[in-house]
Amino acid sequence: MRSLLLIFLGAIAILFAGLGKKEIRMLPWAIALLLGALVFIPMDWIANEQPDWVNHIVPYFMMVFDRSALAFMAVIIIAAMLVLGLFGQREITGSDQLGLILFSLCGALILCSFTHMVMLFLGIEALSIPLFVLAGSRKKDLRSNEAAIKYFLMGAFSTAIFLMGCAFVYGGTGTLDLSVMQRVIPGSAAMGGMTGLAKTGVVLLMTGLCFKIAAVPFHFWSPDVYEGSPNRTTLFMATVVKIASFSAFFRLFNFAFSSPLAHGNWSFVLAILAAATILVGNIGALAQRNLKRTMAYSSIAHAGYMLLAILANPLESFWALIVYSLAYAGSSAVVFYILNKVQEKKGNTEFESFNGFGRANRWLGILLILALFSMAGIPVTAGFAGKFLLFSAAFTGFKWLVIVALLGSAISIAYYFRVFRHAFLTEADGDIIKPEWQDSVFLAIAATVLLLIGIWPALITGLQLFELH
Amino acid sequence: MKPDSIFHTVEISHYIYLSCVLFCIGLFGVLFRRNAIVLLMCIELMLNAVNLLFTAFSSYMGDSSGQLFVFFVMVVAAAEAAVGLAILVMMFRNTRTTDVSFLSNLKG
Repeated sequence: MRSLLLIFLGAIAILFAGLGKKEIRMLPWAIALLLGALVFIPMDWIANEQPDWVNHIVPYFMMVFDRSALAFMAVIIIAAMLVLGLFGQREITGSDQLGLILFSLCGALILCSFTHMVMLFLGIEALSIPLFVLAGSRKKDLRSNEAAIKYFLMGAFSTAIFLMGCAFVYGGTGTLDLSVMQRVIPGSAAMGGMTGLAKTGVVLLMTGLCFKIAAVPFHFWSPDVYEGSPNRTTLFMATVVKIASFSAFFRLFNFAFSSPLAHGNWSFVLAILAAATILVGNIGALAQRNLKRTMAYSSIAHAGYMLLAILANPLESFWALIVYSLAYAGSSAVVFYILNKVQEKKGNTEFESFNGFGRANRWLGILLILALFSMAGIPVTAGFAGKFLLFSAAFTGFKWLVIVALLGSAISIAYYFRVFRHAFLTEADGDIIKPEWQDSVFLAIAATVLLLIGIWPALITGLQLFELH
Repeated sequence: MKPDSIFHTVEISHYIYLSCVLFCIGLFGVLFRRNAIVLLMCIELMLNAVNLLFTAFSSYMGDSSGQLFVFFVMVVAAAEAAVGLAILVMMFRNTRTTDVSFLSNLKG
């Protein structure tokens, strides 16, 4: 609660501080704000005496900051800090953009902690509306305009579908409170499972959320929007928005619709969507000639892997999802930083622009290898730990899906290797890129996260989600 | 006839059908129309279908939370329309059209 309030009040303060004539550098303040919010999380974690949400739930609160919420909040704040730290120096100008990013972050934090459909809806909107503006923040650039309008139309459209789902679930269960919903749905089991209204509602909710996480067949907007948006916004969308949407997905489906009977109703559909997402994302990425677009397709594929966590037993897959999210946020931040620097020098993000990059910049080259390894899921990186945990959690229930996911990972190595080939195995001379010291600090943080979790995943998976009584 | 009893003389299923039809009109409008203003209108139509359904369920079950939700939906829809129209104005300044079929620069 305190971290959410701190970020919200800080965002307002930063917005108003920009009113004056004098230019003030807001970025250090924003990063300090996020650090402060991050410090509150371990404090809340220790103080947290909430009972676990699987067995007994505290009803009639609209938000509950239990440990699962706090864990997601920490990951999201770290991801946002990487975006601000790596892109803030020259890219994020003016307190209005910074304010929008922080407001969007508030929405993301609400998505971690809701226990009521109204909060879920408000969280999604608070997350999305600032991003519509950020996607179009290069006003004269037609590609940025196009990204903004596509993102806006798809966002509003998916929200409408999501709301229709809320209405049907409300009609089917008679409540909007997740904990009441969880108790009502098994009660109707005697009458042959969920009512038709509730089932329709769940399918519509799933559709709306799949738009947000860009799962197949609702992924078609994401490569265009990712390519057209400014790099900093793309990174924000790919990490913070995706992780927050997954935390909402996880909380909604493993909390409100978690009874075995309800699970049987939606899990098979979701499993097919996950398999399609993994295959389409990876095969689509193979066909690209532009690194930014490849990253968009790779992010679709990552969404597919992360869907496994929602299907699996939530107690097993929760930490897997957290580890995977951290790995994904860290490696995306590194790749987008390098991509942005190359775009500044060469003007585009075609693979050819990366020729000789690794020879010219030794340290950034090593970082790029680390990030690519983590994305492909090669051992000793956090990406491997995340994939391993995810796949082993899902293996008991969905063997065929895990096999599809492994196949997808094998395909993904091909296009990650292509980046590697251009950066290291070509004769051309790359431009030398000198990161500023602030950038180096945040790159080092990302690299530490990737290596530390890769070597020692128990650092995170060893945490206790509930107080053992 | 008491004024509130209209919700009980008209069956709940009629409300469901009506809002589904409204929702589908909006949905197909979004899928097939090319004018950005019309797209915005269609999205509003979808949201209003949702509002109708919420109100009907809320009145049918005698539970006020559905009607509360409607207020939130209306506020957020207004915010969304404001941002959406701003984006449209920005697009219009650059392209002099509100036809979204110009959206084809990004492909691959």
